[in-house]
Amino acid sequence: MSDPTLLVLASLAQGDKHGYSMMLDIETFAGVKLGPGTLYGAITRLEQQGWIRPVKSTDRRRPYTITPAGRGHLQEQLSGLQQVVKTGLSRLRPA
Amino acid sequence: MNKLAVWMTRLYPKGWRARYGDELDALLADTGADARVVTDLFRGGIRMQFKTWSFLKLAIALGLGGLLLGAGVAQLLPSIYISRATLQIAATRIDENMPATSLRNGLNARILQMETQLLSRTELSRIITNPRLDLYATERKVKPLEDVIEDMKAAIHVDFIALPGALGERALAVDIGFTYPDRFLARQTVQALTDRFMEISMTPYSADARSEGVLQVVETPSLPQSPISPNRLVIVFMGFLAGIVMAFLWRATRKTGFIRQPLAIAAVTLVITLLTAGLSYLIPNQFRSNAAVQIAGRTHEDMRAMREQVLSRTVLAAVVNDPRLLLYRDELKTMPLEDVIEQMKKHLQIDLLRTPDAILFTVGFDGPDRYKDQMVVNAILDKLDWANAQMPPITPRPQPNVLQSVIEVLDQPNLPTSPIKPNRYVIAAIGGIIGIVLAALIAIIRRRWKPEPDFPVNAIPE
Repeated sequence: MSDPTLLVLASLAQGDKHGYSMMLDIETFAGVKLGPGTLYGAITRLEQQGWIRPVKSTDRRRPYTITPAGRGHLQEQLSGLQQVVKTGLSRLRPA
Repeated sequence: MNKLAVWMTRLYPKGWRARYGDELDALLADTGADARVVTDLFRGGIRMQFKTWSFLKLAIALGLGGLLLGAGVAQLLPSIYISRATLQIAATRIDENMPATSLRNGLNARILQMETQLLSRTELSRIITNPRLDLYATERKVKPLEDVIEDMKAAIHVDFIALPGALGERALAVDIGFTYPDRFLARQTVQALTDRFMEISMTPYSADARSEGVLQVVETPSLPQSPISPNRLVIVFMGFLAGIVMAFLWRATRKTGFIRQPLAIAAVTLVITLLTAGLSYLIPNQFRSNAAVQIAGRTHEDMRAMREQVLSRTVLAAVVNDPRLLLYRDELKTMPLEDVIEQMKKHLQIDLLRTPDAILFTVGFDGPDRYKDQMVVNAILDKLDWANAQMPPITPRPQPNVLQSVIEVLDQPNLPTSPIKPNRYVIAAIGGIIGIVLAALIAIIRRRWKPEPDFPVNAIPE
Protein backbone atom coordinates (compact mmCIF):
# COMPACT_ATOMS: atom_id res chain seq x y z
CA MET A 1 0.00 0.00 0.00
CA SER A 2 1.47 3.35 -0.98
CA ASP A 3 -1.48 5.74 -0.99
CA PRO A 4 -0.17 8.69 1.10
CA THR A 5 -3.60 9.58 2.55
CA LEU A 6 -4.11 6.07 3.95
CA LEU A 7 -0.58 5.98 5.32
CA VAL A 8 -1.12 9.30 7.13
CA LEU A 9 -4.45 8.14 8.58
CA ALA A 10 -2.86 4.86 9.70
CA SER A 11 -0.07 6.79 11.37
CA LEU A 12 -2.46 9.17 13.14
CA ALA A 13 -4.67 6.27 14.25
CA GLN A 14 -1.94 5.50 16.77
CA GLY A 15 -1.98 9.05 18.18
CA ASP A 16 -1.46 12.72 17.31
CA LYS A 17 1.69 13.51 15.38
CA HIS A 18 3.34 16.34 13.52
CA GLY A 19 4.71 16.02 10.02
CA TYR A 20 8.19 14.76 10.75
CA SER A 21 6.90 12.15 13.22
CA MET A 22 4.42 10.96 10.62
CA MET A 23 7.21 10.57 8.04
CA LEU A 24 9.36 8.52 10.40
CA ASP A 25 6.43 6.41 11.59
CA ILE A 26 5.30 5.68 8.02
CA GLU A 27 8.83 4.74 7.00
CA THR A 28 8.98 2.33 9.94
CA PHE A 29 5.66 0.50 9.48
CA ALA A 30 5.24 0.72 5.69
CA GLY A 31 8.80 1.06 4.41
CA VAL A 32 7.68 4.11 2.39
CA LYS A 33 9.63 7.35 2.54
CA LEU A 34 7.22 10.20 1.86
CA GLY A 35 8.65 13.49 0.65
CA PRO A 36 7.55 16.73 2.34
CA GLY A 37 5.55 17.78 -0.72
CA THR A 38 3.73 14.47 -0.90
CA LEU A 39 3.08 14.43 2.83
CA TYR A 40 1.61 17.90 2.93
CA GLY A 41 -0.39 17.24 -0.22
CA ALA A 42 -1.99 14.32 1.66
CA ILE A 43 -2.48 16.41 4.81
CA THR A 44 -4.18 19.12 2.72
CA ARG A 45 -6.60 16.62 1.14
CA LEU A 46 -7.33 14.91 4.46
CA GLU A 47 -8.04 18.18 6.22
CA GLN A 48 -10.33 19.32 3.38
CA GLN A 49 -12.26 16.04 3.66
CA GLY A 50 -12.58 16.48 7.43
CA TRP A 51 -10.70 13.27 8.23
CA ILE A 52 -7.94 14.99 10.22
CA ARG A 53 -7.71 18.29 12.00
CA PRO A 54 -4.86 20.36 13.42
CA VAL A 55 -4.17 20.31 17.16
CA LYS A 56 -3.40 23.40 19.20
CA SER A 57 0.33 23.95 19.48
CA THR A 58 2.78 26.77 20.11
CA ASP A 59 5.47 25.09 17.99
CA ARG A 60 5.79 25.51 14.22
CA ARG A 61 5.66 21.72 14.08
CA ARG A 62 1.89 21.47 14.21
CA PRO A 63 0.45 18.10 15.23
CA TYR A 64 -2.64 16.60 13.64
CA THR A 65 -5.26 14.28 15.00
CA ILE A 66 -7.57 11.87 13.22
CA THR A 67 -11.28 12.66 13.43
CA PRO A 68 -14.06 10.12 13.96
CA ALA A 69 -14.94 10.48 10.28
CA GLY A 70 -11.32 9.80 9.47
CA ARG A 71 -11.32 6.66 11.57
CA GLY A 72 -14.45 5.46 9.81
CA HIS A 73 -12.87 6.07 6.39
CA LEU A 74 -9.65 4.31 7.39
CA GLN A 75 -11.61 1.34 8.76
CA GLU A 76 -13.57 1.06 5.50
CA GLN A 77 -10.48 1.26 3.29
CA LEU A 78 -8.47 -1.22 5.34
CA SER A 79 -11.36 -3.72 5.45
CA GLY A 80 -11.54 -3.58 1.68
CA LEU A 81 -7.79 -4.07 1.40
CA GLN A 82 -7.90 -6.93 3.89
CA GLN A 83 -10.44 -8.76 1.75
CA VAL A 84 -8.21 -8.31 -1.28
CA VAL A 85 -5.15 -9.55 0.62
CA LYS A 86 -7.07 -12.55 1.98
CA THR A 87 -8.40 -13.53 -1.44
CA GLY A 88 -5.05 -13.05 -3.16
CA LEU A 89 -3.15 -15.10 -0.59
CA SER A 90 -5.67 -17.93 -0.70
CA ARG A 91 -5.36 -18.07 -4.48
CA LEU A 92 -1.59 -18.15 -4.30
CA ARG A 93 -1.63 -21.10 -1.92
CA PRO A 94 -0.84 -24.31 -3.80
CA ALA A 95 -3.96 -26.43 -4.41
CA MET B 1 20.19 22.39 -1.90
CA ASN B 2 18.43 23.87 1.15
CA LYS B 3 18.07 27.19 -0.68
CA LEU B 4 16.67 25.37 -3.71
CA ALA B 5 14.15 23.61 -1.48
CA VAL B 6 13.06 26.96 -0.03
CA TRP B 7 12.61 28.26 -3.60
CA MET B 8 10.46 25.26 -4.42
CA THR B 9 8.13 26.03 -1.49
CA ARG B 10 7.41 29.35 -3.19
CA LEU B 11 5.76 27.39 -6.02
CA TYR B 12 2.87 26.64 -3.68
CA PRO B 13 -0.16 28.99 -3.91
CA LYS B 14 -0.20 32.00 -1.60
CA GLY B 15 -3.29 30.81 0.25
CA TRP B 16 -1.75 27.43 0.82
CA ARG B 17 1.50 28.89 2.13
CA ALA B 18 -0.44 31.12 4.52
CA ARG B 19 -1.97 27.98 6.00
CA TYR B 20 0.80 25.39 5.81
CA GLY B 21 3.96 27.35 5.01
CA ASP B 22 5.39 27.46 8.52
CA GLU B 23 4.75 23.74 9.06
CA LEU B 24 6.44 22.86 5.81
CA ASP B 25 9.47 25.01 6.66
CA ALA B 26 9.71 23.29 10.05
CA LEU B 27 9.52 19.88 8.37
CA LEU B 28 12.29 20.82 5.93
CA ALA B 29 14.43 21.95 8.84
CA ASP B 30 14.00 18.45 10.34
CA THR B 31 14.46 16.38 7.15
CA GLY B 32 17.07 18.44 5.39
CA ALA B 33 16.98 18.77 1.61
CA ASP B 34 18.42 16.59 -1.08
CA ALA B 35 17.61 16.16 -4.77
CA ARG B 36 14.69 13.84 -3.96
CA VAL B 37 13.15 16.35 -1.56
CA VAL B 38 13.57 19.22 -4.04
CA THR B 39 11.91 17.19 -6.81
CA ASP B 40 9.09 16.18 -4.48
CA LEU B 41 8.47 19.79 -3.50
CA PHE B 42 8.51 20.87 -7.17
CA ARG B 43 5.87 18.27 -8.11
CA GLY B 44 3.76 19.06 -5.06
CA GLY B 45 3.90 22.80 -5.76
CA ILE B 46 2.84 22.43 -9.41
CA ARG B 47 -0.02 20.07 -8.47
CA MET B 48 -1.26 22.44 -5.80
CA GLN B 49 -1.12 25.35 -8.27
CA PHE B 50 -3.24 23.44 -10.77
CA LYS B 51 -5.81 22.78 -8.07
CA THR B 52 -6.16 26.43 -7.24
CA TRP B 53 -5.48 28.33 -10.43
CA SER B 54 -8.19 30.34 -12.01
CA PHE B 55 -9.00 29.76 -15.67
CA LEU B 56 -7.01 32.80 -16.79
CA LYS B 57 -3.76 31.63 -15.19
CA LEU B 58 -4.33 28.10 -16.47
CA ALA B 59 -5.03 29.36 -19.98
CA ILE B 60 -1.88 31.49 -20.00
CA ALA B 61 0.29 28.67 -18.63
CA LEU B 62 -1.09 25.96 -20.91
CA GLY B 63 -1.30 28.34 -23.86
CA LEU B 64 2.37 29.26 -23.47
CA GLY B 65 3.27 25.62 -22.93
CA GLY B 66 1.35 24.64 -26.06
CA LEU B 67 3.01 27.43 -28.03
CA LEU B 68 6.49 26.26 -27.01
CA LEU B 69 5.63 22.62 -27.68
CA GLY B 70 4.18 23.55 -31.07
CA ALA B 71 7.30 25.55 -31.91
CA GLY B 72 9.46 22.60 -30.87
CA VAL B 73 7.47 20.16 -33.00
CA ALA B 74 7.61 22.57 -35.95
CA GLN B 75 11.40 22.63 -35.73
CA LEU B 76 11.50 18.85 -35.98
CA LEU B 77 9.44 18.78 -39.19
CA PRO B 78 11.52 18.73 -42.38
CA SER B 79 11.47 21.89 -44.48
CA ILE B 80 10.17 21.66 -48.04
CA TYR B 81 11.53 24.00 -50.71
CA ILE B 82 10.30 24.75 -54.20
CA SER B 83 12.50 25.66 -57.11
CA ARG B 84 10.98 27.13 -60.28
CA ALA B 85 11.98 27.91 -63.82
CA THR B 86 9.99 29.75 -66.48
CA LEU B 87 10.19 28.98 -70.16
CA GLN B 88 8.56 30.52 -73.18
CA ILE B 89 7.44 28.21 -75.95
CA ALA B 90 6.71 29.87 -79.27
CA ALA B 91 5.47 28.04 -82.36
CA THR B 92 6.88 29.01 -85.72
CA ARG B 93 5.14 28.27 -89.00
CA ILE B 94 6.95 26.27 -91.61
CA ASP B 95 4.06 26.78 -94.01
CA GLU B 96 3.27 30.53 -94.16
CA ASN B 97 -0.27 29.80 -95.37
CA MET B 98 -1.12 27.96 -92.16
CA PRO B 99 -4.09 29.71 -90.51
CA ALA B 100 -3.53 31.29 -87.08
CA THR B 101 -6.07 29.05 -85.34
CA SER B 102 -4.27 25.97 -86.63
CA LEU B 103 -1.03 27.37 -85.24
CA ARG B 104 -2.56 27.98 -81.82
CA ASN B 105 -4.31 24.60 -81.73
CA GLY B 106 -1.13 22.94 -82.84
CA LEU B 107 0.84 24.67 -80.09
CA ASN B 108 -1.66 23.61 -77.41
CA ALA B 109 -1.64 20.01 -78.60
CA ARG B 110 2.13 20.02 -78.87
CA ILE B 111 2.61 21.30 -75.32
CA LEU B 112 0.15 18.73 -73.98
CA GLN B 113 2.10 16.01 -75.73
CA MET B 114 5.43 17.35 -74.40
CA GLU B 115 4.08 17.54 -70.84
CA THR B 116 2.74 13.98 -71.04
CA GLN B 117 6.12 12.76 -72.28
CA LEU B 118 8.02 14.73 -69.63
CA LEU B 119 5.89 13.29 -66.82
CA SER B 120 5.91 9.76 -68.19
CA ARG B 121 7.14 6.89 -66.07
CA THR B 122 10.22 6.44 -68.27
CA GLU B 123 11.37 10.04 -68.00
CA LEU B 124 10.73 10.38 -64.29
CA SER B 125 12.40 7.11 -63.35
CA ARG B 126 15.44 8.23 -65.35
CA ILE B 127 15.60 11.49 -63.36
CA ILE B 128 15.01 9.79 -60.01
CA THR B 129 17.77 7.22 -60.52
CA ASN B 130 20.25 9.70 -62.04
CA PRO B 131 23.34 9.21 -59.80
CA ARG B 132 24.00 12.98 -59.73
CA LEU B 133 20.53 13.54 -58.24
CA ASP B 134 19.73 10.24 -56.45
CA LEU B 135 16.26 11.53 -55.55
CA TYR B 136 14.09 9.93 -52.85
CA ALA B 137 16.99 7.68 -51.80
CA THR B 138 15.40 6.78 -48.44
CA GLU B 139 11.94 6.21 -49.92
CA ARG B 140 13.32 3.94 -52.64
CA LYS B 141 14.70 1.60 -49.98
CA VAL B 142 11.21 0.98 -48.54
CA LYS B 143 8.80 1.67 -51.42
CA PRO B 144 8.44 0.33 -54.96
CA LEU B 145 9.71 2.69 -57.68
CA GLU B 146 6.13 3.08 -58.99
CA ASP B 147 5.12 4.70 -55.70
CA VAL B 148 8.17 6.95 -55.72
CA ILE B 149 7.31 8.06 -59.27
CA GLU B 150 3.81 8.97 -58.09
CA ASP B 151 5.35 10.94 -55.22
CA MET B 152 7.53 12.82 -57.68
CA LYS B 153 4.57 13.53 -60.00
CA ALA B 154 2.76 15.09 -57.06
CA ALA B 155 5.84 17.23 -56.34
CA ILE B 156 6.17 18.55 -59.93
CA HIS B 157 4.08 21.57 -60.92
CA VAL B 158 3.73 22.49 -64.60
CA ASP B 159 1.64 25.61 -65.08
CA PHE B 160 0.83 27.30 -68.36
CA ILE B 161 0.54 31.07 -68.46
CA ALA B 162 -1.10 32.91 -71.35
CA LEU B 163 0.97 35.73 -72.81
CA PRO B 164 -0.59 39.05 -73.73
CA GLY B 165 -1.04 40.61 -77.15
CA ALA B 166 0.03 39.19 -80.47
CA LEU B 167 2.70 37.04 -78.80
CA GLY B 168 -0.09 35.16 -77.03
CA GLU B 169 -1.39 33.93 -80.40
CA ARG B 170 1.62 31.72 -80.94
CA ALA B 171 3.41 31.42 -77.59
CA LEU B 172 2.86 30.32 -74.03
CA ALA B 173 4.89 30.65 -70.85
CA VAL B 174 5.46 27.46 -68.89
CA ASP B 175 6.34 27.49 -65.21
CA ILE B 176 8.05 24.28 -64.03
CA GLY B 177 8.34 23.81 -60.28
CA PHE B 178 9.55 20.99 -58.05
CA THR B 179 9.18 20.65 -54.25
CA TYR B 180 11.77 18.73 -52.28
CA PRO B 181 13.36 18.80 -48.80
CA ASP B 182 16.86 19.56 -50.20
CA ARG B 183 16.88 22.99 -51.89
CA PHE B 184 19.97 22.27 -53.98
CA LEU B 185 18.49 19.06 -55.34
CA ALA B 186 15.21 20.88 -55.96
CA ARG B 187 17.04 23.32 -58.23
CA GLN B 188 19.06 20.60 -59.97
CA THR B 189 15.89 18.59 -60.62
CA VAL B 190 14.13 21.61 -62.16
CA GLN B 191 17.23 22.08 -64.33
CA ALA B 192 17.00 18.41 -65.41
CA LEU B 193 13.27 18.77 -66.19
CA THR B 194 13.86 21.98 -68.12
CA ASP B 195 16.70 20.43 -70.14
CA ARG B 196 14.56 17.42 -71.00
CA PHE B 197 11.60 19.65 -71.93
CA MET B 198 13.84 21.53 -74.35
CA GLU B 199 15.15 18.28 -75.87
CA ILE B 200 11.59 17.02 -76.43
CA SER B 201 10.70 20.28 -78.18
CA MET B 202 13.47 19.81 -80.80
CA THR B 203 11.48 17.40 -82.97
CA PRO B 204 9.16 18.99 -85.57
CA TYR B 205 5.48 18.48 -84.97
CA SER B 206 2.37 18.39 -87.11
CA ALA B 207 0.04 21.28 -86.26
CA ASP B 208 -3.11 19.44 -87.19
CA ALA B 209 -2.44 16.99 -84.45
CA ARG B 210 -2.79 14.47 -83.34
CA SER B 211 -1.72 11.43 -85.46
CA GLU B 212 -5.16 10.72 -86.75
CA GLY B 213 -6.66 7.33 -86.04
CA VAL B 214 -3.96 6.48 -83.50
CA LEU B 215 -4.79 6.01 -79.80
CA GLN B 216 -2.85 8.63 -77.84
CA VAL B 217 -2.50 8.55 -74.11
CA VAL B 218 -3.49 11.85 -72.50
CA GLU B 219 -3.16 10.60 -68.93
CA THR B 220 -1.28 7.40 -68.14
CA PRO B 221 -2.94 4.93 -65.77
CA SER B 222 -2.43 6.36 -62.30
CA LEU B 223 -1.12 4.44 -59.30
CA PRO B 224 -3.51 5.60 -56.58
CA GLN B 225 -1.86 6.77 -53.38
CA SER B 226 -4.89 6.85 -51.10
CA PRO B 227 -8.11 4.83 -51.11
CA ILE B 228 -11.42 6.23 -52.36
CA SER B 229 -13.19 4.32 -49.60
CA PRO B 230 -13.72 3.87 -46.74
CA ASN B 231 -13.58 7.48 -45.56
CA ARG B 232 -11.93 6.79 -42.24
CA LEU B 233 -12.09 10.41 -41.13
CA VAL B 234 -15.87 10.35 -41.35
CA ILE B 235 -16.05 6.98 -39.60
CA VAL B 236 -13.82 8.15 -36.73
CA PHE B 237 -15.87 11.34 -36.39
CA MET B 238 -19.09 9.28 -36.20
CA GLY B 239 -17.39 7.12 -33.55
CA PHE B 240 -16.47 10.27 -31.62
CA LEU B 241 -20.10 11.48 -31.66
CA ALA B 242 -21.37 8.03 -30.73
CA GLY B 243 -18.87 7.94 -27.83
CA ILE B 244 -20.13 11.25 -26.45
CA VAL B 245 -23.77 10.15 -26.72
CA MET B 246 -23.08 6.78 -25.08
CA ALA B 247 -21.09 8.37 -22.27
CA PHE B 248 -23.89 10.83 -21.44
CA LEU B 249 -26.54 8.10 -21.68
CA TRP B 250 -24.53 5.91 -19.33
CA ARG B 251 -24.08 8.80 -16.93
CA ALA B 252 -27.82 9.51 -16.96
CA THR B 253 -28.56 5.94 -15.85
CA ARG B 254 -26.09 5.84 -12.95
CA LYS B 255 -26.02 7.81 -9.72
CA THR B 256 -22.66 6.34 -8.65
CA GLY B 257 -19.75 4.56 -10.23
CA PHE B 258 -16.98 5.36 -12.66
CA ILE B 259 -19.15 7.41 -15.01
CA ARG B 260 -19.84 9.97 -12.27
CA GLN B 261 -16.14 10.70 -11.91
CA PRO B 262 -14.44 13.67 -13.53
CA LEU B 263 -13.14 13.05 -17.03
CA ALA B 264 -15.28 9.88 -17.35
CA ILE B 265 -17.08 11.37 -20.34
CA ALA B 266 -13.78 12.10 -22.05
CA ALA B 267 -12.41 8.64 -21.23
CA VAL B 268 -15.47 6.80 -22.57
CA THR B 269 -15.53 9.00 -25.69
CA LEU B 270 -11.83 8.33 -26.31
CA VAL B 271 -12.26 4.57 -25.96
CA ILE B 272 -15.25 4.44 -28.34
CA THR B 273 -13.44 6.69 -30.84
CA LEU B 274 -10.30 4.53 -30.79
CA LEU B 275 -12.40 1.38 -31.10
CA THR B 276 -14.20 2.82 -34.12
CA ALA B 277 -10.89 3.87 -35.69
CA GLY B 278 -9.53 0.35 -35.21
CA LEU B 279 -12.66 -1.27 -36.64
CA SER B 280 -12.51 1.01 -39.68
CA TYR B 281 -9.25 -0.69 -40.65
CA LEU B 282 -11.12 -3.99 -40.92
CA ILE B 283 -13.02 -2.49 -43.86
CA PRO B 284 -10.96 -3.23 -46.96
CA ASN B 285 -9.62 -0.27 -48.93
CA GLN B 286 -10.86 0.50 -52.41
CA PHE B 287 -8.45 2.28 -54.74
CA ARG B 288 -9.20 3.74 -58.15
CA SER B 289 -6.80 3.99 -61.06
CA ASN B 290 -7.68 6.39 -63.90
CA ALA B 291 -6.42 7.06 -67.41
CA ALA B 292 -7.50 9.14 -70.40
CA VAL B 293 -6.86 8.56 -74.10
CA GLN B 294 -7.93 10.19 -77.33
CA ILE B 295 -8.15 9.03 -80.90
CA ALA B 296 -8.11 11.97 -83.27
CA GLY B 297 -10.43 11.74 -86.24
CA ARG B 298 -12.89 9.31 -84.64
CA THR B 299 -16.49 10.41 -84.31
CA HIS B 300 -18.58 10.15 -81.18
CA GLU B 301 -20.51 7.24 -82.70
CA ASP B 302 -17.25 5.43 -83.54
CA MET B 303 -16.03 5.80 -79.99
CA ARG B 304 -19.33 4.68 -78.54
CA ALA B 305 -19.18 1.56 -80.68
CA MET B 306 -15.61 0.94 -79.49
CA ARG B 307 -16.76 1.33 -75.89
CA GLU B 308 -19.52 -1.24 -76.37
CA GLN B 309 -17.05 -3.61 -77.98
CA VAL B 310 -14.63 -3.37 -75.03
CA LEU B 311 -17.45 -3.86 -72.52
CA SER B 312 -18.66 -6.98 -74.32
CA ARG B 313 -18.61 -10.35 -72.64
CA THR B 314 -15.88 -11.72 -74.89
CA VAL B 315 -13.42 -8.90 -74.29
CA LEU B 316 -13.99 -8.68 -70.53
CA ALA B 317 -13.72 -12.46 -70.23
CA ALA B 318 -10.28 -12.18 -71.87
CA VAL B 319 -9.28 -9.54 -69.30
CA VAL B 320 -10.58 -11.62 -66.37
CA ASN B 321 -8.76 -14.71 -67.65
CA ASP B 322 -5.51 -12.85 -68.39
CA PRO B 323 -2.87 -14.88 -66.46
CA ARG B 324 -0.84 -11.71 -65.72
CA LEU B 325 -3.74 -10.06 -63.92
CA LEU B 326 -5.10 -12.96 -61.80
CA LEU B 327 -8.41 -11.17 -61.35
CA TYR B 328 -11.25 -12.50 -59.22
CA ARG B 329 -9.49 -15.83 -58.53
CA ASP B 330 -11.62 -16.60 -55.45
CA GLU B 331 -14.87 -15.53 -57.09
CA LEU B 332 -14.23 -17.71 -60.15
CA LYS B 333 -14.08 -20.76 -57.87
CA THR B 334 -17.64 -20.17 -56.63
CA MET B 335 -19.39 -18.08 -59.31
CA PRO B 336 -19.94 -18.54 -63.04
CA LEU B 337 -17.85 -16.33 -65.34
CA GLU B 338 -20.95 -14.35 -66.40
CA ASP B 339 -21.53 -13.22 -62.82
CA VAL B 340 -17.87 -12.35 -62.35
CA ILE B 341 -17.98 -10.21 -65.50
CA GLU B 342 -21.08 -8.42 -64.18
CA GLN B 343 -19.23 -7.80 -60.91
CA MET B 344 -16.25 -6.40 -62.83
CA LYS B 345 -18.50 -4.04 -64.79
CA LYS B 346 -19.67 -2.48 -61.52
CA HIS B 347 -16.08 -1.43 -60.78
CA LEU B 348 -15.10 -0.46 -64.34
CA GLN B 349 -15.91 2.93 -65.87
CA ILE B 350 -15.32 3.75 -69.53
CA ASP B 351 -16.80 7.16 -70.34
CA LEU B 352 -16.67 9.54 -73.26
CA LEU B 353 -15.67 13.09 -72.45
CA ARG B 354 -16.02 15.93 -74.92
CA THR B 355 -13.38 18.64 -74.78
CA PRO B 356 -13.04 21.64 -77.12
CA ASP B 357 -10.27 19.86 -79.05
CA ALA B 358 -11.19 16.18 -78.92
CA ILE B 359 -13.34 13.41 -77.52
CA LEU B 360 -11.60 11.47 -74.80
CA PHE B 361 -12.04 8.03 -73.33
CA THR B 362 -11.71 8.16 -69.55
CA VAL B 363 -11.07 4.75 -68.04
CA GLY B 364 -11.28 3.97 -64.34
CA PHE B 365 -11.17 0.76 -62.33
CA ASP B 366 -11.52 0.38 -58.57
CA GLY B 367 -10.43 -2.53 -56.43
CA PRO B 368 -8.61 -3.39 -53.22
CA ASP B 369 -5.16 -3.79 -54.84
CA ARG B 370 -3.88 -0.50 -56.29
CA TYR B 371 -1.16 -2.11 -58.40
CA LYS B 372 -3.68 -4.49 -59.92
CA ASP B 373 -6.10 -1.63 -60.54
CA GLN B 374 -3.40 0.13 -62.57
CA MET B 375 -2.69 -3.07 -64.52
CA VAL B 376 -6.40 -3.53 -65.29
CA VAL B 377 -6.65 0.04 -66.63
CA ASN B 378 -3.60 -0.66 -68.80
CA ALA B 379 -5.26 -3.84 -70.07
CA ILE B 380 -8.47 -1.93 -70.92
CA LEU B 381 -6.41 0.67 -72.83
CA ASP B 382 -4.88 -2.20 -74.83
CA LYS B 383 -8.41 -3.42 -75.59
CA LEU B 384 -9.44 0.07 -76.71
CA ASP B 385 -6.39 0.12 -79.00
CA TRP B 386 -7.45 -3.27 -80.39
CA ALA B 387 -11.05 -2.05 -80.86
CA ASN B 388 -9.71 1.04 -82.66
CA ALA B 389 -7.77 -1.23 -85.06
CA GLN B 390 -11.01 -3.09 -85.86
CA MET B 391 -12.69 0.17 -86.96
CA PRO B 392 -12.47 1.40 -90.57
CA PRO B 393 -9.21 3.33 -91.15
CA ILE B 394 -9.41 7.12 -91.16
CA THR B 395 -8.54 8.88 -94.42
CA PRO B 396 -5.57 11.12 -93.63
CA ARG B 397 -6.10 14.82 -94.36
CA PRO B 398 -4.06 16.23 -97.24
CA GLN B 399 -0.94 18.42 -96.69
CA PRO B 400 -0.56 18.33 -92.96
CA ASN B 401 1.01 21.57 -91.75
CA VAL B 402 4.19 21.25 -89.84
CA LEU B 403 5.33 23.69 -87.19
CA GLN B 404 8.34 23.94 -84.97
CA SER B 405 8.47 25.21 -81.40
CA VAL B 406 11.20 27.42 -80.05
CA ILE B 407 11.87 27.40 -76.33
CA GLU B 408 13.49 30.28 -74.53
CA VAL B 409 14.37 30.18 -70.84
CA LEU B 410 12.91 33.30 -69.21
CA ASP B 411 13.95 32.43 -65.63
CA GLN B 412 16.62 29.90 -64.75
CA PRO B 413 15.82 27.45 -61.93
CA ASN B 414 16.17 29.40 -58.69
CA LEU B 415 17.86 28.25 -55.49
CA PRO B 416 15.14 28.69 -52.86
CA THR B 417 16.20 30.45 -49.68
CA SER B 418 13.21 29.79 -47.45
CA PRO B 419 10.93 26.75 -47.24
CA ILE B 420 7.32 26.81 -48.42
CA LYS B 421 6.36 24.51 -45.58
CA PRO B 422 5.92 23.81 -42.77
CA ASN B 423 4.52 27.11 -41.60
CA ARG B 424 6.17 27.08 -38.19
CA TYR B 425 4.27 30.11 -36.92
CA VAL B 426 0.95 28.45 -37.67
CA ILE B 427 2.01 25.21 -35.96
CA ALA B 428 3.17 27.08 -32.86
CA ALA B 429 -0.09 29.07 -32.82
CA ILE B 430 -2.11 25.84 -33.10
CA GLY B 431 -0.14 24.47 -30.12
CA GLY B 432 -1.04 27.60 -28.15
CA ILE B 433 -4.73 27.32 -29.06
CA ILE B 434 -4.82 23.65 -28.06
CA GLY B 435 -3.27 24.64 -24.71
CA ILE B 436 -5.97 27.25 -24.12
CA VAL B 437 -8.74 24.82 -25.08
CA LEU B 438 -7.24 22.25 -22.70
CA ALA B 439 -7.21 24.87 -19.93
CA ALA B 440 -10.88 25.60 -20.58
CA LEU B 441 -11.74 21.89 -20.39
CA ILE B 442 -9.80 21.44 -17.14
CA ALA B 443 -11.45 24.52 -15.61
CA ILE B 444 -14.94 23.36 -16.64
CA ILE B 445 -14.46 19.81 -15.39
CA ARG B 446 -12.84 20.93 -12.17
CA ARG B 447 -15.55 23.48 -11.43
CA ARG B 448 -18.27 20.98 -12.25
CA TRP B 449 -17.05 18.09 -10.16
CA LYS B 450 -14.66 19.40 -7.60
CA PRO B 451 -15.17 22.43 -5.36
CA GLU B 452 -12.45 25.06 -5.18
CA PRO B 453 -9.93 24.09 -2.52
CA ASP B 454 -10.02 26.18 0.61
CA PHE B 455 -7.09 26.66 2.95
CA PRO B 456 -8.76 28.54 5.81
CA VAL B 457 -6.21 29.94 8.21
CA ASN B 458 -8.96 30.14 10.84
CA ALA B 459 -9.24 26.32 10.75
CA ILE B 460 -6.27 26.30 13.11
CA PRO B 461 -7.59 26.01 16.67
CA GLU B 462 -6.63 28.75 19.12
